[in-house]
Amino acid sequence: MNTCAVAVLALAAPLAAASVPAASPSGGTAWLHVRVEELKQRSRVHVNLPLPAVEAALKAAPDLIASEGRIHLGGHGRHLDVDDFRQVWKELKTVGDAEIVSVEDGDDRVNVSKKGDLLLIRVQEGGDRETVHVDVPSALVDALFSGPGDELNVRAAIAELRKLRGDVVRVNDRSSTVRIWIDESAGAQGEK
Amino acid sequence: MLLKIGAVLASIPVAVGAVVAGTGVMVVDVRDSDGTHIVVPVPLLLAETAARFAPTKAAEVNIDRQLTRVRRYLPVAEEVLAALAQGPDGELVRVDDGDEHVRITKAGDVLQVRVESPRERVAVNVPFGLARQALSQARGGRVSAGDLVAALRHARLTRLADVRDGGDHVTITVW
Repeated sequence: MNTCAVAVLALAAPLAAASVPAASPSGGTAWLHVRVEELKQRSRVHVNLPLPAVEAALKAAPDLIASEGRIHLGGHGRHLDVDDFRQVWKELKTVGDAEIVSVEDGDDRVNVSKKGDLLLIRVQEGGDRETVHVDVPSALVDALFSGPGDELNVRAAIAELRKLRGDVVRVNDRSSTVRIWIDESAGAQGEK
Repeated sequence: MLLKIGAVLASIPVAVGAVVAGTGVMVVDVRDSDGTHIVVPVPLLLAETAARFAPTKAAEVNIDRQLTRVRRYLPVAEEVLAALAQGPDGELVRVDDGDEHVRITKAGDVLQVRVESPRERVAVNVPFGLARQALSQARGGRVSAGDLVAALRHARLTRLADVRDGGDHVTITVW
């Protein structure tokens, strides 16, 4: 996974929550599922957590995601000002469906686009050798940036997270796949 | 007269048995590959008393030192554990790495941890109450062995551990 993909994923993963089918009216407990599979190594990691447990864990997240008014991207000293990011997001919201960023560098592509209520992030490295799909609902980003000044409103984002169902992140490369999604089944019933 | 003395003498083990049965017994069962079989029943009341008087200061200092780096996350861990305890039953973690498998499942009031490899099988059942008490004490800066043993009273009829390693087999059960 190249640096760009990691950076995009690092930014999007904490923000993200779900994709296409938005709110679920069901009163069942929502579960966050994480699947990491490396078939060559015969290695699989499946994590299923009820959302209330995730919410409790996320209470510790603000310090990890952002502190001193900056969003941290990995451990390489790369940061974004929360306020700058808020402004960029504000501008993006006024745009209709559009391709926002498109980078082509040989076989590598990064594409960020807005479609309906979703911010779509697509990264391809080496053709189809490695792909990253992240779908971020606008409502979730709105909630996250609803705090004042340099603060991220993680509490509001968590509240938004409760309403969401579906895929959050999909990463495929030659040897491994990662999928994160939310549904109302405790086990792997929602696995595709 | 003899009958009265006999009745009094007989009542002592009955009373002791009743107290032990009322407060719980931890049974450690060890079977070695060489055929040795040892069963040690430990009344929880006795274990708790021993743990309270045992010189555990050095161990407590060591635990406290180990906890220093993670102490700020202990309240979060407590909340996560509470949320898991109140949540529905289900498989929380499954790791398959070649011939090695790990499962962590929530089943009622117990967190079941299963580790299997070609050579060994480990099954540990952690009562949520016990884990929460341990975390709560750690957050308060004091882990008391006596209090933890006392918390085992809430884990009656639970097999805390079942470990098979080659030909050796150890079980720890609270009755």
